[in-house]
Amino acid sequence: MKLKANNHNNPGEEPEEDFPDPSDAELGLAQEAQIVPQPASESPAIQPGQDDGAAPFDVLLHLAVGAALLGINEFKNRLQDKQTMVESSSEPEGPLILPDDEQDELRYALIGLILSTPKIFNRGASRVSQAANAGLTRVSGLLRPVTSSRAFRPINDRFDQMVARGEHIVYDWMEAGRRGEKTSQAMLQKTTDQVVGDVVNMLAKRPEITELVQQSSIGMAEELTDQLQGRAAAADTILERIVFSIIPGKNKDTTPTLVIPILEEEQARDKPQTAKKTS
Amino acid sequence: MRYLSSWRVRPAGFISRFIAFSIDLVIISLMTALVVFFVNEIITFFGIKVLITRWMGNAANASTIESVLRVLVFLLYHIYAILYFAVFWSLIGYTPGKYVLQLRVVRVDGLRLGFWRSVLRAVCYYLSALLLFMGFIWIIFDKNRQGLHDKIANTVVIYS
Repeated sequence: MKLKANNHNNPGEEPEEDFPDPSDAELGLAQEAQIVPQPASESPAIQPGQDDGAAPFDVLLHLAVGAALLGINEFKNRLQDKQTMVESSSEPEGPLILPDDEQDELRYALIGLILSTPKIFNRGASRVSQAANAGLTRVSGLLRPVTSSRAFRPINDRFDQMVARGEHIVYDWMEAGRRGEKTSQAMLQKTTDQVVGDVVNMLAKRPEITELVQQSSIGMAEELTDQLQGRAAAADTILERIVFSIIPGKNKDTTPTLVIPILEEEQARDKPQTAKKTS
Repeated sequence: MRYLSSWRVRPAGFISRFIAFSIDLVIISLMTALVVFFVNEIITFFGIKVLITRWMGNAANASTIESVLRVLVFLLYHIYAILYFAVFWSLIGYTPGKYVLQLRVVRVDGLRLGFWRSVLRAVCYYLSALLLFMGFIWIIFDKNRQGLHDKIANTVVIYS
């Protein structure tokens, strides 16, 4: 699908040439994501039978862009955190002690060079830019009589048209990028949520996983009750010791035990599960 | 019927039994609250309360009926509590609270409690409570860790 150029910049002017419009509506993404609604004039309807094969690729492209943006953002945040952490923990610089060994000297020089490289590049780029600007000003001053002559006007016009067209293309890219950034991030978020939900659902349906969760829950409950029972039994003994240490004439040092006779008929049915059997 | 062997068991102490009893009380209270809530909802839904007020003629009589109903609910609560304990003890030997603490109620001869003995023991809870809870506190001092209700029902609570 083609969209006439300049129709959203200067509606009154006649467009010069057709440009491809990378809008989300054309790619079918706005309808899928439902996140960045576009006005009817900006998002043309999808023509049936057109660009059918491109949609999955475009979705994939949006997801990739969203992932990259998210990754870059996260990486930047972590890098900043790390830098802050390093700066806060760095010790104040002490006096410089020159190494004796030649290998150390070489190593330190190399490390210093590596660390200074960005500064050197920045300085060099700045100088090159200044020199280029100065050269360009001088050359354009020299060539001005030629370039402003009447014979040179058609070339100038053609050049201006090319520049305008290039600017317009870049403008369209910026527009598409501005819209696509949000759409991509939102699509990635939605896809991630959906995938996580699907994975959780899939895991919840698997019998071995549910069995594992149940077993761990039962295990935790059993451990908790065991702990409660053990502590309560210990508290019983402690309470009795305290009480009998207060009351004179009473001695109850050992935990009492009770011998319960087991009858023949009731042995299987009523025996305590963990009691110690004595003959 | 003859004796085959004997089990050396540890009677449960006061704190374990108190915790188990507290858990049982929470369960009983929750279940009673649910029952009362649903009964009240049913009475309100079908307009029975309004019908009673009209039938009794004036508000004073209606409030008497309400007081009687409150007493009835109180009695039913305690009957339900006694049955809760009695049924669990006679059927499986422990209540949910005692299960959590791994306790079991048995007769002193090792047999499981019958239903009426269980009812007697549950009723004797009230007797132990009426004597300024001395019937329960006696568990600390008794050599077999038996409370008053245990002595009367001839039972003992053991760690299972």
